[in-house]
Amino acid sequence: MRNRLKRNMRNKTVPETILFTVVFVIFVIYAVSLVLPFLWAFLSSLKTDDEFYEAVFALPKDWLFINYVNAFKEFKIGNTTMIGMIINSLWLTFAGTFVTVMISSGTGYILAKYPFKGSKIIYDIAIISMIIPIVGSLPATYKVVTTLHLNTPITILVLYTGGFGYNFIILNGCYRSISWQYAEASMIDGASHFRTYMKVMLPQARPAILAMAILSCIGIWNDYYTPFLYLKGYPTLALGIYQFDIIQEQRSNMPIYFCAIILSIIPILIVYTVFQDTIMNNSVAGGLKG
Amino acid sequence: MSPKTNFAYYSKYSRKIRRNVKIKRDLFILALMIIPVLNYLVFFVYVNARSIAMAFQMTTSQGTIWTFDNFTRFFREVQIPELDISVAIKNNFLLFIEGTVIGTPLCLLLSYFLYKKIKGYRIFRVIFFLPSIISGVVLVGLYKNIFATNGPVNEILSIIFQRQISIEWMVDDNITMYCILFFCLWSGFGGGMILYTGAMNRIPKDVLEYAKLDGCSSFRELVQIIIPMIWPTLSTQLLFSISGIFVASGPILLFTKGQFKTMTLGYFILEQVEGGSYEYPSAIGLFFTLVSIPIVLITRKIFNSTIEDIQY
Repeated sequence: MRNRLKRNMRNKTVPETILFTVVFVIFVIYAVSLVLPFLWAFLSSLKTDDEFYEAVFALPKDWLFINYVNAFKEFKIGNTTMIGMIINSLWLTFAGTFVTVMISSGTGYILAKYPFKGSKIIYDIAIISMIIPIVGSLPATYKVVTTLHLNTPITILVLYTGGFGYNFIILNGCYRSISWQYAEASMIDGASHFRTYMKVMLPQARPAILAMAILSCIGIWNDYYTPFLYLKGYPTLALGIYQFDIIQEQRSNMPIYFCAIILSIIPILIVYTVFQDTIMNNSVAGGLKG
Repeated sequence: MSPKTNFAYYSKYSRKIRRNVKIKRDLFILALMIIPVLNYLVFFVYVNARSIAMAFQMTTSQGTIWTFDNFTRFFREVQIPELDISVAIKNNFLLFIEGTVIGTPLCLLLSYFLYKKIKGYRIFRVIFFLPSIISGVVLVGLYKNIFATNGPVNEILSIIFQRQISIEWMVDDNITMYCILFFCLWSGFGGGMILYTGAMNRIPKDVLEYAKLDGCSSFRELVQIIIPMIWPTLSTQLLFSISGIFVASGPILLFTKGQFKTMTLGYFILEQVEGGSYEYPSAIGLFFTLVSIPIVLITRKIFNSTIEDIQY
């Protein structure tokens, strides 16, 4: 009896089977629509410029992998070559991620484990600031950044030192759940507050910090908005692709544009393959913007 | 502590030691908090105070004067439907409707079928999340080229209809905005999918099994059991998109820079700032912040009161 019930539950009714088949077909179409553009871009990156315009669909006549070599020389914005853009992107990605994660970890830790006068108020203010929908703070932010000369690759890191955002909430919760006894034991052994934090407490939050760092890296690598506003003279790869698309009207070289696109997504795809579960099983992923 | 410790010595200096301990603790707190607190004071407190002040200012040849002119200009301009600012407000509503009325239900359905382990659900999950981890620059760049006047989409249509079709998808006052909205829909399922499937997986299995035994259909299961049970997640997402109605800029910078009737509020403000105008966009920002605060508060109240939090 029970077995039959179980089988009934597992077997789908006829209309349900039809429904699932229809949805499956829709899913396949949608999935193909997501993957095909990248395949098309890859094929286009191996063509000559004329071929790209004349035969949009055809496979490349000769598979010109040399285009990728040329892209390193010819994909240029101002004086910055592709190599320069990649260096700018890598710097901003790793330095920005380091700053943003370490700052949030610090605030999260202090407000979880070091209660002081006003610490509760700071926490409440952080939450409230996240909820208020502020529309037009860009003009004033832009003015501050330009007056303080923060628009260079090193000083721009100041923009990543916000410690009271979403990352803070997650890490704060994380540190709250770690027992203080570990820290106590370490301090009885003579370790300072800082050493205890770095060597004992922070490693215990590693899963959350790692997930956050990966997502932050992806976010900064993809970000075109901050470089567009503040780092026009130091284009990252994302900004370079954007600017190349605009100046193309004068001197067209589409295959190289596609080379840059493919090169820019390769690191992302590698990280995605390696850390797929970390990226997708974390509630932080919901906030990731394309 | 070793038995040889001199307790008299210890108590004599204990106050000093305790003070030292306190100072060390305070220094540690200060070291970790000073930068983020300064950042908050500059980029939240000062920036917003400055925004509010600028909304009531105007730079003239005699210097800066205090005035309501930015607001009167705004109220004058929104009445003229051809102007960028009116187009922007309309487009922000369109973006909002695309995201909530169309996007969210589709995303829920998509998550539901993945949760139900439709054939190939693992691969679908990985592919459907792709747009969320690839830069908007790349996605828009590809999309634009595919919809280019002599691009693949027109080529396919030409083959299907057996005649030359050259629709100007990306440079037309009437269709470009809808192409962009479709892009947002097409590339916008990833984040929601992760959150909703995550929430669905936390629903206890036996609840759904009992419902199945009572002959509950898939549709009723989704609407009457799953959606109420993931309501905390769903309502938070809806609240985010409601509070973002006027903030959203969409991918306009990448697509059209506001040409062809595709202006949005976020991009309008950006364009003004790029052009060296600060006071007028600050006034627009302040106006919409004041409009959206009560909207957000009221929606929060409605969400919290209509459906009680379900504990499980």
